Amino acid sequence: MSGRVLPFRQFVLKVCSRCDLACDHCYVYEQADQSWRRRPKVISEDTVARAAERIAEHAQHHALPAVRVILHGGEPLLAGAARLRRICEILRREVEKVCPLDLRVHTNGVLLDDDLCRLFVEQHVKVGISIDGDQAANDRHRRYADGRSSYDQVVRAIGRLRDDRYRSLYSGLLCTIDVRNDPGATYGALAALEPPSIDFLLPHATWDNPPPGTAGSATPYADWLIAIFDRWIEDTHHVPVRIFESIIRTTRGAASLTEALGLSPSDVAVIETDGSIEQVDSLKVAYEGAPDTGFDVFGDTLNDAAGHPAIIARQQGLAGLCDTCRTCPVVTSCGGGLYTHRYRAGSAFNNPSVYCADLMKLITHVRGWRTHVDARPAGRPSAHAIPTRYLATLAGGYGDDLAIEYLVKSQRSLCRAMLGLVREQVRAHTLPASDGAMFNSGWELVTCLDEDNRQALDDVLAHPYVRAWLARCLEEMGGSTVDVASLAVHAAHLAAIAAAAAIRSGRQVQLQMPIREGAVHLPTLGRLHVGSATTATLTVGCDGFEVKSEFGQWSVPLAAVSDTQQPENWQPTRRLSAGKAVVALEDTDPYRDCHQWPAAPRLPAEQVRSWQRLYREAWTLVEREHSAYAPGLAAGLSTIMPLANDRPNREISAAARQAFGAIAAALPAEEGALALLIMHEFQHVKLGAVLDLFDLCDHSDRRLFYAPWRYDPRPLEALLQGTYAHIAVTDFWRARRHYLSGPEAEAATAKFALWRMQTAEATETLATSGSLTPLGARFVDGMRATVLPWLDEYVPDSAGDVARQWAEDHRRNWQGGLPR
Amino acid sequence: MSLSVQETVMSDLLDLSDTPLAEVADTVSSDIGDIIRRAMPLSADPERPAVSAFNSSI
Repeated sequence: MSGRVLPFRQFVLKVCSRCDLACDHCYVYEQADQSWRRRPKVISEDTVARAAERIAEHAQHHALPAVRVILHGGEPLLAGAARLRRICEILRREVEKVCPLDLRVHTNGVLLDDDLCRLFVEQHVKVGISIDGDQAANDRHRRYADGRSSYDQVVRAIGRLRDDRYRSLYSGLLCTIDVRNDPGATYGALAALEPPSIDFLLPHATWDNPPPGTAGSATPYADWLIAIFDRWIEDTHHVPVRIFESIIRTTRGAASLTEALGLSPSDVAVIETDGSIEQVDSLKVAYEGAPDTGFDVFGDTLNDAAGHPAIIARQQGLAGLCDTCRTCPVVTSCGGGLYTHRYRAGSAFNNPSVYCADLMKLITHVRGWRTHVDARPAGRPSAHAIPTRYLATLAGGYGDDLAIEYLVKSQRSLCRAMLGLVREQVRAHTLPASDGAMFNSGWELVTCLDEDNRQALDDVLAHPYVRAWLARCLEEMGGSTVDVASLAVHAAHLAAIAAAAAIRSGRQVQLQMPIREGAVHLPTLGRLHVGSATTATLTVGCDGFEVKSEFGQWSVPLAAVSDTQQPENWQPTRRLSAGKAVVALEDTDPYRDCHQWPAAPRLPAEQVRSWQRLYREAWTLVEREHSAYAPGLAAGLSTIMPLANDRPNREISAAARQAFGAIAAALPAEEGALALLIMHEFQHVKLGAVLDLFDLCDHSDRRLFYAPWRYDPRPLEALLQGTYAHIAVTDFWRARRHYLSGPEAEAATAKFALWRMQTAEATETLATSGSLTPLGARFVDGMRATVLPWLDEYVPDSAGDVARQWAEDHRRNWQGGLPR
Repeated sequence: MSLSVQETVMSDLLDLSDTPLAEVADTVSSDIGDIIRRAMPLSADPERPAVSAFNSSI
C-alpha cells in the first residue's frame, strides 16, 4: 500500500457472533446484512493471536501512543470466562509490547457474574452495558427469544459494577432511543444507576429504512433529546452524556467524542470472529455486505484496510459530505451525522442524514444554550471536584484508577493554566528574536493542535517534566528582576513541546527548534543529537520527521520513534512494561533534573535491561502483595526517572511536586526495594496532586514538628507528606512479612511494628496540631482509619521490642540534633 | 473549597478542559496568585517541601 493512510486507533473485536437476547432493534441480526450466519460462533485463539499481532504491528507502524480494543459481539460474554481470559492475555501480550492497551468489553450484562467481574479486574477490562432506561423502556426491545424480560439481570449486573469491588470496571451505559419512552423517566432511570457516562444512540436507519416513530412529528428524536438536555444542564453534577458533550465540544471547535457527530475522521476497524477486517458494523443496516472490505488479519495488514476507499471516504471531513451538508450552518457539529444514516439506494452515502431535521434542531438548541451561557458574566468554567468517596479512598492511603483519574484531570487543567500564564508573562518581555520566534511558533502550533487534535497535545502536556518546565519558566518570571536571556532559553522549549505533539498527531508542519546540550528534545518521544548549533529546523512529514542544522541533516522514520531499530543519533524514550503497567524510563528530557538527587545520564542498554527485569519483578510483587495499590499505580504512574548514584549501596528515590506521574530512583538491588520505593514515592505523587486542589494545612503555621523518619524537624505539610508516604511503607512490610521466612520474615515484622508505631504517632501529631483545615482534618481522619487498626494486629514480642528500641534510638538522636 | 450536598468536594482550581488554550490566559488571569501558590509551593514559601526523599536505610 503506497501513500499515507490515517491509522486506526480503536478496534472492535468480535469474540462471539451470537447473542442470548433477541432484541428486535439489533443492527447485527435484524437488519439487511446477515453475514453473522456465515461466521464462527466464537473467535478462535489463532484468530485472536493474529488480530493482536496485526494491531501491534499497526500501532508500531504509526507510533500510536495507545490503542483501544473493545470486545464485542453478538454477546461477548457468551465466549465464557476461560476464553475471555485467553483473549485478554493474548491482546495484552502482543499489543503492550508496543504501546498501552485500553481494553473494554461491551455487553448486554445478563451473564455478568462475580467470576467475570474478577476476571475483568485482573485484566483491567472496562465494562459498558446496554440498557434502554427503566423496565418498561428496556422491555420494549431487550427480551429473550421467548419474550422474557432481561431487565432484572441487567440491573443486577450494573449493581455489581456499582459495588466498590468492581466500580473501577464501570465505563458507562448505552441506551438506544425509543421516542415512545418518556425522556425524563429514561434519563432519570439511567442516571440513578450512577454510570460514569451515558450514550444515547439514534436507532440505526437509512432513507430506505427510516427510523420508527416519525409519524406524529417532524423531529421526534430532537424533541426527545432536548427534553433530556434541558434537564441535564440543570443537574449540578450531571453524568457525562456523550451526544451533548460532543455538540458542545464541536461548537467551540474541538473534536467530537463520537463518530456519529463532527467532522473528525473515523478511526475504528472491526475484526470479525473469522478474522475479517470490516468497517463499523452499523453499516449492516444499509445493505448486505456493506461493512465488507475484503481484507482479513491472516492475509492483510490493518494498513491495507485503512487504505480501503470506503474507509477513506469516512475520513474526508467536509469534503466527504454532500452539497447540502457542506453549506449547512451546523455542519461542524453534525458532520453529516453517522455515515450509515446517510444511505439511500442509488445515491449511496451522498446524502444528508435521515436524521437531518432532528440533528439540526438539537444542535441549534444546544448552541443557543451555549451562547446564553457564554454571555453570562458568571460563565466561567466550573471548578474541579472530587466525589467524597474517592477522596476518602485517597485519604486512606489508597485510591483506585477512578480516583486517580480525577487527579489526572485536575493536573491537565493546572498545566493548561500554567501554560496560559507563561504565554501572558512571555508577552510582557522582549525576548531575543530567535527564542521569541520559537516560543511564538510553538504557541501557534499548540493552540492549533488544541483545536484539531487535543489528545496528542494532552499526551505531551501530561508528561511530568512539561510541568517542571512550566514551573521553571514561571520561576524565571517570578522574581523582582527577570533575567531575560535565561527566560528566553526556557521559553523556546515550547517549540519542542509543540513539535512532539505535532509528530504524535501526524500534523505536517515545519518549525525552528532550540538545541540544548547538542540535541533537539521531543518530550515523550526522545532526543536527537545534532551537534553544537543553537537552532535546527524540524519538519514533520507523512512518515516521520527530519531535522536540519548547520552541521547536518537527519531523518527519523515515524515507526522508529518507538522502534528499537534506531537511526543514528536518535535516542527514543524507552519503556518499562509489566503487563498493564507501562512506564516511560525517562533519561533524556532536559527538565527531568528537578528532584532532590541528580539525574542519571542516558542509560546504556544493559542498564535498561536491568531496569526492565527488576520493574517486572517489582510489579509482580505489588500485584501479588499490594493489590489495593496496583490500580492507582497503573493509572497514575507514567514515568520513572533514573537517578545518578555515587554510592552503589545507597538506595535513593524522590518525587517532585512539579512532576505529577513521575518518580525518580537509582536502580536498587532487588525487586522488593523497588516495589517499596515505587509505592512510597507514588504516595507523594498522589498527595501532591490533592494538595494542588485543596488546602489541607494552615500555611501560616510556621512551627516545625518531629517526623519519626527524619532527623530534621519538619513543617506541617512536610510531616503530612511523610506520614502519608509511610502508610504505604507500613502496609508494604505488613504484607511482606507473610511472604518471607526465617530471619527475613522477622526483620520484615520488626519493620512493620516500627512503622505502624511511627506512622500512628505522626498521624496523631497531625490530627492534634490545630493547623489542619476542616478538609485536612477529614483527610487525616481517613489516614488514621487505615493506620489505627494495624496497631491491634499481632506481632511477636521480640519484633515489638526491636521496633521500640529503634524508635527510642531515633528520637534520642533527633533530640540530640544530629544531622541526617 | 466547599462540600456540596451531592457529597462532592469542590476545589477552586478551574476545570479548563473545555476552555480553548488560546483563551486560558484570560480565564485564569485573576487567579494568578492561586495558581502560583498551588503549582509552585517552593517559590511561594521556601520552607515548604517541593521534593521528598526516601532513604530505606532509616
